[in-house]
Amino acid sequence: MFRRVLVVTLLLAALGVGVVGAQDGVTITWWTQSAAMPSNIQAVLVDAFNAAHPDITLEMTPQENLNETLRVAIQAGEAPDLLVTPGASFIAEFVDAGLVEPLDDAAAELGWADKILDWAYQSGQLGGVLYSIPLTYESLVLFYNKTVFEENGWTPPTNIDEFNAIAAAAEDIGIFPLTYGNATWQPSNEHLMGMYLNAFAGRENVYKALVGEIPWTHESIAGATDLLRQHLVDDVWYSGGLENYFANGGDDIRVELATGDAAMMLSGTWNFRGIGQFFEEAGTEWDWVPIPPMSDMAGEYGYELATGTTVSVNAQSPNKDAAIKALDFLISDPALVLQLAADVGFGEWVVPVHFGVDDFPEGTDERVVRFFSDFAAVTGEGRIGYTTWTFWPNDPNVHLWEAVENVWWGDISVEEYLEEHERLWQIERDSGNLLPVPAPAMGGM
Amino acid sequence: MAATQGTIQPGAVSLGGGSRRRELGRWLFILPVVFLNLVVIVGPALFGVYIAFTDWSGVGSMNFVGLENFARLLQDQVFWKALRNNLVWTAIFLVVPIVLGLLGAYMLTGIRRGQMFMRVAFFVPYVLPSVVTTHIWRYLMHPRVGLGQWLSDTFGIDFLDKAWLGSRDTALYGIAFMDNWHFWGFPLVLLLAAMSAVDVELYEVARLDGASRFQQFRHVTLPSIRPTLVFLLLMIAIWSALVFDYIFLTTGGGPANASEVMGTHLYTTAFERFQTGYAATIGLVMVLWVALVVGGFVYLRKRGWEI
Amino acid sequence: MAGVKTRTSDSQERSWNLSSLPNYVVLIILVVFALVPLYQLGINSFKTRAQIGLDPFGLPEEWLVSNFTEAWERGKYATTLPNSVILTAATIFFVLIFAGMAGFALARLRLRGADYISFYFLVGTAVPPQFYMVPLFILWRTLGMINTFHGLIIIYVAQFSPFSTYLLRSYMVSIPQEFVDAARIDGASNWQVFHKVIMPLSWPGFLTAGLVVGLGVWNEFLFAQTFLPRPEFKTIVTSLYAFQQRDGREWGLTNAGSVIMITPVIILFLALQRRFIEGLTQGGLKA
Repeated sequence: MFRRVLVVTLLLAALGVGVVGAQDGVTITWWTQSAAMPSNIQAVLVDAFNAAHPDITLEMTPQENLNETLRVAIQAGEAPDLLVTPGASFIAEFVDAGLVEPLDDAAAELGWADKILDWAYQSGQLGGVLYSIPLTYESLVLFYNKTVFEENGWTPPTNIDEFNAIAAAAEDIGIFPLTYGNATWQPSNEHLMGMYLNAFAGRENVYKALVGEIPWTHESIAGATDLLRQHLVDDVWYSGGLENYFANGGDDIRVELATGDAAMMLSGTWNFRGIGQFFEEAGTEWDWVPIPPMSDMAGEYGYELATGTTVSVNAQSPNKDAAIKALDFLISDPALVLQLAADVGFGEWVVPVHFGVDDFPEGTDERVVRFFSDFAAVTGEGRIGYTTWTFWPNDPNVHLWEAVENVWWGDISVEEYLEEHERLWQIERDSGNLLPVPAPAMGGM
Repeated sequence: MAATQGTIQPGAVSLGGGSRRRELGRWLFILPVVFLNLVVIVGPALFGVYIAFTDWSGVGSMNFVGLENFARLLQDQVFWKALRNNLVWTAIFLVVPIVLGLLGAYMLTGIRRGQMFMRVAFFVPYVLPSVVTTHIWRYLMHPRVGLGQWLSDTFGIDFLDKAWLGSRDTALYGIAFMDNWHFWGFPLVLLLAAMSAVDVELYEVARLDGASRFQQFRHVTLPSIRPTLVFLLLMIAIWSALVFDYIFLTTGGGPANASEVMGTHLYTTAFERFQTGYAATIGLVMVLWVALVVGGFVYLRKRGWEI
Repeated sequence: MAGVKTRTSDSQERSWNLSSLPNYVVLIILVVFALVPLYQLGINSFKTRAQIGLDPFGLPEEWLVSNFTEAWERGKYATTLPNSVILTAATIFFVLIFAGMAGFALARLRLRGADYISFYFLVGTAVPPQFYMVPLFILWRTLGMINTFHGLIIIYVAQFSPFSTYLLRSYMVSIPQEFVDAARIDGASNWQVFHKVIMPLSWPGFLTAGLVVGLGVWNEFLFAQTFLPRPEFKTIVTSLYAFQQRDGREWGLTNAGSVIMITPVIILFLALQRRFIEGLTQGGLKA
């Protein structure tokens, strides 16, 4: 019946390997999200760090379900020394619970403010105290099928009129003006919402709403919400309508763009990782331009600021100094950062340190380099935008992408949606747990 | 062979005397399972019951808020939508996979050649991880490349050419269809095992009496496999209250909560909104639902229903 | 054994007359229903992610056998496969013993309050993991059982036993009372009745329960991930997640990886099905 002997042997083996031998010196643990992890991280970061620090052993473990695993482990004091969370808004409750080590002293001593991009450094602060370092930064742009554009003699749009003209032209030749979908990642709604808010209401209005100078029910915000609804529902510009939007997953939209079934895609620079594959397979070319301003309120084009996962030091860790050394090692070497980022196509692990065009490894895609250099120049002038997952507290953020579906289906009006949004923001403002918001360049419109 | 059919009364083995030692001896059989269950699930779950009365975020401090979470539950439109969807889901799964499983199993007992191949073919979908099953079916149901599109292009059959998972009217049914494709091999295997154990003589007697195939099924097969069938229906009723991964992996409960179930609502509440206290309240409702189903089952059995 | 009429030989007889034709018609429809998506799984395990997106149903332009080797490497199956085999085998072993005993007690022994026990078991299977995961984790940590196989095996045995108890009970109540009575007359104890009479006659039940439990453990993710966070203890499901990216998955590798993952289960299923038929044959002989 059962191979009892085999089973018992396996069981004994199971009991035997339970304990791992201790190593000399200090061991620090770092869990990373496996979905984002560069394949060369062991050689480029971990081994290099361990070689430079004979008394410390850094151990990096990819976790497939990091957020949930961490939340359980942290309760029992079993969390790793370095805490990775999905974004700055996630860190607040860990901070409230006293689980995160303030990094101000270390940052002052090691000069982190000079090593990290200003806005990204600030995004790690809560109530003026530094708690986290972003592990990656990104923005949102307009991707387009270059082959289709060239065949039709179109030039990429730089303002709303040109954008509308291309959408009309695309419909004339029977293709979708735009493609998107949220079937494999429901919060994808917030990509579009964020882009329309910044491109239509403009950075100044969004900033004012974020800091509470105007309510979220402001006409500029309502206008942006309604414009997206109109493009999605009335004009059916996105993949031929709402039902297709809800059926489209991450690969489907890139296929639509690559095959020329759609002309353009508004999306994030995480697409740099992997988008080329689809175009290569389809025998077409892709390129990107900044998102065109969609109203007079928006002024000149800019880039939304967005950080991805963040890393912090566990306040319960007995090896905080060693953990801080590991962080310092990572952010002190732009070449190392770019090597890691290159492995994941500059879609992940673009640690926000200062690097120039010349620092990119040879053979880096020109379109990628162009983005990072233009991003640095434009955001340096204060032409910035605000990504929902970096600047919205968690509750309003979830509401933003979840309830907007009810607006699209016509269950609630734009006004009702924004009233509820404002109410949730008010709760956050009252609690005083707001994330820092860098001011944009004002009055340039 | 009259005693072939299962009787459920626990007193089937008559043991002389009510001696306490013998009673204890009998309890020893059940002790390991009960003990493990208490340590691993019930004990820690009592803590979960407490969480349902707090505003805990999942980390940090916990404040007792009394019935506040329950009051919120009554107001929560999404929760009621989810509850309704769980009922629909239960109804679908109590019928469709059972009918398919019965049909497949009964047909399989009637053949010899190719039986092994078919058993494997029916069972493999049940083995596939849900990430893969949902990916396959998302393409089969996709408005651009899916089966419906292909039927429409090739044969001009239009009615299947829809965005099944993108529409609020069909999303829940589309996912139920997928999950059913995956699941029906499970009742099939169980029912097949039960049917194969039916005494052959009963069929022969029935055939001599001139019973048709259907009559044999109705009067011989069905009564003989009743314990397994009841077990399956009960487990499906329990599992349907807990359904999560197929919905989570396809629509996440959307579009606009159209396919929301209690499991996905609990997940969103706990891991997106970080309201672990309220999530525990939803979880408590799920447990109570199951308690009600199982309670009804036990009650009927006590009333002498042979189930 | 030849010449003894058994259940299986009976179906053999039945299969050769014309009346089995409708069976084949129905079954072939069901086989097509089951296999069409599996065809897609098969061919897509030889494609790149982009090819799958562009043409999910067509044959691959180039058969990428390398998907399997790459999936094996990147998914670290050399580590995760043995880990899952250990967890699965040990869980099945203990579940079948404990649930077999409990199922026997519920089906065949007069237990006062058996209904309450049933109630408790069944409701216990419905507790959402979020309910008890954190306290259980803290308890396990106190007991030093995080990152140990036996720690997770105990959890699995507790989780899968109630279901198996009920499944086995449903088989055991169908066993004719005469067998038990005969053993009783020979002076068999409860344990002997269980071991010598009920267990051999419930083989289909045990095999089915073993299969379902095994599959449950094989595919389990949440507890494996939480209670075994160290890389050397990762289980086979986590291998599938190695191909996950933020914007989706490497679907070619995911498909190849899941083919790797289901192959042992299908082999086990085939082996068990053969046993299953043998078990029935033996049962038939004894009857």
